[in-house]
Amino acid sequence: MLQLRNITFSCRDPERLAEFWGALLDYEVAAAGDSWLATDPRGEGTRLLFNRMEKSETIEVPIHLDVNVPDREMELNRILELGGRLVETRSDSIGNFSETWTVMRDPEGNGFCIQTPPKTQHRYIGNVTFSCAEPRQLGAFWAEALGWPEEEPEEGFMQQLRDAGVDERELSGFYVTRPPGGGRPRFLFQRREKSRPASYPMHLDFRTDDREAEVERLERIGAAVVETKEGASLTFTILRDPDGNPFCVG
Amino acid sequence: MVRLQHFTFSCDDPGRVSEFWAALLGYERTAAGSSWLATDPQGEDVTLLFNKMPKSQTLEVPIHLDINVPDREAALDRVLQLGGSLVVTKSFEIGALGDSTTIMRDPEGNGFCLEDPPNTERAHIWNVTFACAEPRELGRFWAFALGWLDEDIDESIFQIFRDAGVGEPDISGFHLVKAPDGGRPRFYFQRREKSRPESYPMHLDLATDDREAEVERLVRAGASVVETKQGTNVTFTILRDPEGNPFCVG
Repeated sequence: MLQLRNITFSCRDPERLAEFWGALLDYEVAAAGDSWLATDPRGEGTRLLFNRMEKSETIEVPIHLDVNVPDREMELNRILELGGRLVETRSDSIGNFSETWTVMRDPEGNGFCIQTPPKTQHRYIGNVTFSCAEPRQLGAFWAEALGWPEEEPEEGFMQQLRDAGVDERELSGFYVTRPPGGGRPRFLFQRREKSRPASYPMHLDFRTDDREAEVERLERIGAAVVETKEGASLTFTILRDPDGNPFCVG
Repeated sequence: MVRLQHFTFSCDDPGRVSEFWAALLGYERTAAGSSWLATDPQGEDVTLLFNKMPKSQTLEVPIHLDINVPDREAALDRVLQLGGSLVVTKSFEIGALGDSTTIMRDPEGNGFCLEDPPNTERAHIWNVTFACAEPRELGRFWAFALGWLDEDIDESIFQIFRDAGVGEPDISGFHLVKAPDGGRPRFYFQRREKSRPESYPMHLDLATDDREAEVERLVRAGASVVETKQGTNVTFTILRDPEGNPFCVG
């Protein structure tokens, strides 16, 4: 099985970006060779890794982070002071259901969302979000890859959507899987296509006890191997999920 | 130059889809062989053509219509009664600017948007909207093709964006072109990537006095030719714009 090791950013200026995300999430940042790491001092949140690496200049990419914060409005201003930029504040409503979030960019243009679900005490990464054509299919791949269960929407919620006149096809427009026991981050899949750049500015790094067996298993469920590389301290394989999103297993 | 002749839907059931759109827009319907036409009795707005044609089942495609209505909430209910369905009502806010749009689908799943700007007296097609990677470049191609003009955006809007913390490239994330006489519809280009299906469920039909010369001119401007076909009473060429959106010139 895979364990999420890092969320990795390809950067022009790893130190600058590590500082931004460190301040945003209350993480501690430290240099690691040419790269930078940002780590949660509470030991809860996923570690972020910042590598100096080529990336496509595309700004609409199929993967982003949703950050939960205690106060969205206040956070918007704080992020602008940290060197982030605003895209827009969005609200979606369907019948009586509604939610609001703010789309922002980090100093190198990576999009992310901030939102304030009830009882948010501190800042943390709530979701790794994948934009895709078929959320249920891609979500099922990742649930199997990670050994995570699907977080099924409550039937009452689905009924609320139907009552508001929502098309049946929209009801398969999202999928959520999360670590057993309610761990974080969740992986959220939503039907919203984006461009697929040659070099993604963000990807996920996974750890496993048996890389070769794991790569074989992932290929069987729909992943494709790009190449296997010898890193400084470990061998890792770059793969693509069934929608072409790159990830590493080492 | 080319003129906008029809906005064309590929349908499983042209009769059913044309009924829906005619009722929504107050258009008149006429059969034309196995196709249906829906025309504005006031002669102001673009004619819709409904052909029985295979199409990809993709829901999120890079082209849609924005419909202005006197009352968005009332129109939402009416669309549901006519056999359409709801996706979501979406609001955005950037500093002092804000707006709400309801996204809906016609009976065959074609997405469209409802808005109710002030002084809208009747339902009409306001924008043909292209979701694209490069709004300015694609907008300029279409302005060139149609002999239309860029619509100047009030500088004060950009200032509101900047003051709210919006940076490049989001500030240049949209572009508008319209006919010199200010007629409808406008073409609206927004940076928002979608999937590019094999067979688009919607496309533009353009008329011209000299098809061959016009095709040559459009290819020089960045279009590519798919094929030339002999219709029942007209020869037409299928092309793709620089971002791959299909259109016909006949």
